[in-house]
Amino acid sequence: MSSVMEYQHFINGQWTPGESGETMDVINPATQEVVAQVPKGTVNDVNKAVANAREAFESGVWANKSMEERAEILLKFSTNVLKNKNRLAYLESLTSGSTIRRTMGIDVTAVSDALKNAVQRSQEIPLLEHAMCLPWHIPQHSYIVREPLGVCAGIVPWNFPMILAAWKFAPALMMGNSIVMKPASITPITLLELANLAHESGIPAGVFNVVTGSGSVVGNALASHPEIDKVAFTGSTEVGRQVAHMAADGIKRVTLELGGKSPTIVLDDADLDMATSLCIHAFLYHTGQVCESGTRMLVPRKMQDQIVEMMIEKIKKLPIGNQLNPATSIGPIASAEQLETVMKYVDIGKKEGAQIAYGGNRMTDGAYGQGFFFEPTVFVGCNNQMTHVREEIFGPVQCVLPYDDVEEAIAIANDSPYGLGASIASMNATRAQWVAKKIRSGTVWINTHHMLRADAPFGGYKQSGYGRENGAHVLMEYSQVKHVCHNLVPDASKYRYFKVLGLN
Amino acid sequence: MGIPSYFIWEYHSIVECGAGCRTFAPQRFMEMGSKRIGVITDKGLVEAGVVSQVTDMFLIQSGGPQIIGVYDKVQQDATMNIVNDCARWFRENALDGMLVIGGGSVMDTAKGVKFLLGTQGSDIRKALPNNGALMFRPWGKPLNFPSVFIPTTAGTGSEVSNVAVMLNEEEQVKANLIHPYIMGEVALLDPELTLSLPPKLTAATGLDALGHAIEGMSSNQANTMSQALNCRSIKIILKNLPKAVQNGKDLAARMEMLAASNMAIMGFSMGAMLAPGHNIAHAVGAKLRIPHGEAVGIVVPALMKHFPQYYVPCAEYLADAFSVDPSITNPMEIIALARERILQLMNDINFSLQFQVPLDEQGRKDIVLAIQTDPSVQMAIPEPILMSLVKDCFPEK
Repeated sequence: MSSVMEYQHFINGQWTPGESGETMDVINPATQEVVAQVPKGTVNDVNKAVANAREAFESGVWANKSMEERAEILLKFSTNVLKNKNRLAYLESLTSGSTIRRTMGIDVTAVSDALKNAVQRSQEIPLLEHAMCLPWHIPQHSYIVREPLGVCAGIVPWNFPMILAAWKFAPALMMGNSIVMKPASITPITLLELANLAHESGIPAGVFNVVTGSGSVVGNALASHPEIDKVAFTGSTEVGRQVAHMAADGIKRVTLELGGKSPTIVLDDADLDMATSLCIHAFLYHTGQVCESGTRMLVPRKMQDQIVEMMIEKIKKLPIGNQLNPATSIGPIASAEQLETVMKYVDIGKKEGAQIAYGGNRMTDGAYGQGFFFEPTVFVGCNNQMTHVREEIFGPVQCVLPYDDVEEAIAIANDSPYGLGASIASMNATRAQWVAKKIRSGTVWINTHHMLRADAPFGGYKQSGYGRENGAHVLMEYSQVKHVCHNLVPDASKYRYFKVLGLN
Repeated sequence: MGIPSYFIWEYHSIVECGAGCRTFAPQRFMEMGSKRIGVITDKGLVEAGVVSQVTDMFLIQSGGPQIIGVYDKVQQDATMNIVNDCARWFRENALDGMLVIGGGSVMDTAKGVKFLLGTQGSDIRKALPNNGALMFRPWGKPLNFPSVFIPTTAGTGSEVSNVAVMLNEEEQVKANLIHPYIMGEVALLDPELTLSLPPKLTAATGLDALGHAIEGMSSNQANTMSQALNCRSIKIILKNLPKAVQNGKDLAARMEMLAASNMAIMGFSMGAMLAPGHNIAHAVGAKLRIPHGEAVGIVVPALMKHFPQYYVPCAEYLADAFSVDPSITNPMEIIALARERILQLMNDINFSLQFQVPLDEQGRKDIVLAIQTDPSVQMAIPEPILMSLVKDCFPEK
């Protein structure tokens, strides 16, 4: 695409120019070509979006619709997402470096599924509950209704711009909230497209708004805005901590889906073809730029060499290249800044004594030189105290950690400030599930990795965050409950509860 | 007392009483597994805002069962065409719960609908051959259609009774359906919903309840449990009906009347094979479209006057219920005093002793024939007694 696409904020159901008139460039990370421009949002832009979202919420135009009415519109939205699959997948790949193979195969469908899941799970969660009536003691009707929170803010990262946004707006909208979202500054356009599609599908103006801009301006304004009731953030643990601090002043509800350093435990009974593919999938999916990436592979010491050798043979065959080529398995790193980070950690690993068994370098030959390409990298000779083994790199870097017995493997796996995901390779179902039980993380996979389902909760233990996305659980994160207690003894002289004050 | 007869006490309703107890309607449907609720009512109750007093609860207590629609075509008397039409409406809308808000006509319509829905029927006429169907066990089987009945009069007590009376408008006859499962699974007796009932209707429906109690008491199938309810309900009505008529906002009197009407129907339907007053009232009501409450209110004391011998076996219970001086033991005297007490009550509530329809000789003969051939007739009242009763109850044309 030669022409540069120009976008505006999406506020109150319409494209809205930014207050400052300043713009930010959006590039294709495979070529560094500028493909789009978006407004550089200001605090006033955020104020405007939040005011509209608040007005829409208070008017009841969305919140007072029945669950069925909202469901119908969300399902229409879900269908419209699929109808726009080609365009959305293309734009997502173009700007995030995600392979077109993946965005066509998974991402667009996942957005649609997030909407469908919110609708379907809403039919299963308790929307109306009742406490026991005590007819002979204190007759009363106590019922509990589930209500929306109000105006939610969703702050999403650049690795899966559409999916991670959908995991927030789908439940928020299902439960009757309004939402203001901030996409990552380098991947803003698909979320803008989705907000527009939502509006076209019948979501009323002001209910779903998107403000583009930097995290330090737009993100901070949202996280600390007095009219925001809840902040949902996906990103690094460091920024998540700041968000939680900012939100704390307003006692906002917060859900955080943060970093990880997920272990992949290969048990000695694993099928090695499965185990090696799993370890590759775990760290190379989206070039390793995934929060739940499996980047610490724990292998039985005696099998280490064989496993590493098999793995490298498989990695060599994976096509690395322009993400828009359907043959490409591994695309570029999303930004120059992130490429820098990856290179920094590879250097640290080497300095701390780990050895590179494969890769370790930026790719600069030919077309690679125009983009942010980095070789899939496998470190051996690591221990769990090394910096590059403990900290999240967010790139195509795998660290091999040998162990002597399963208890040691579990101990190493759990020795991490993070607890987002973990995977186990084993051919013994019972043994694998015993290990799964002992792992301290929000998700454990057996003989797979990255398998996130719309209908199962996803979120972290420990510093990987709190709150859950997906499943029925996410609907609880975007709603609150009210207990209404209706005394059925209207005669004050007969009401036993007033006896406590001697009123009767 | 003689050798005691067998009797069965069979009830299937949860009865909840109290101002505001309509709050439980959504919860009760949830407990029964209903999600799509259809309301049966009449236009007057919709316009008076009574229906929304209940249906709003479903909007406020959101997330539970939903009101999908309101069927408000019910008119005076549960006409069979409306029963069929309403059952069709329930099916078309895939409804799985029935919320009934109204008086006798609405509740009897609902019972007919519930019967059709629970028996895969579509025409209530076919279900009631010769305008009557006695479906005691084992023929009366669970209908498996959850319902909550909320009476807006006090009243027929129809919310919990196993009887439904519907009007065959083509034959001008009231048809009876007796079935152990046609009543509401839940009856919510909420006096706030009867506060706006006008004095005349309050009086007529209250006399209907009194009629149930007296007819239940005088039936030769009354039993010791039913008599307890008959007796107590008469006392409550004598005390509270004038209050409710004179001050419609008297919440306590309204509640007492709802409870009494519920008790009276229990006493009636669990022990009244014989109900000559209802027999006459049904015939008169079907022929002249006179509201049932009014018909019962006028007929029962007239029957006590013209056919007092019928009440002799229950004179002891009448004495108790009407607080007759214990020194008086002559049954005929007790019956006369009880009737006098009823006339006093009717005076207190400004209720006429006569229908407002004048009849000539032929008209009276037609009514007597209608009484004698009414499907609910269980006993033959001597024709001269009927003639004198009819002559007394209708003005001369």
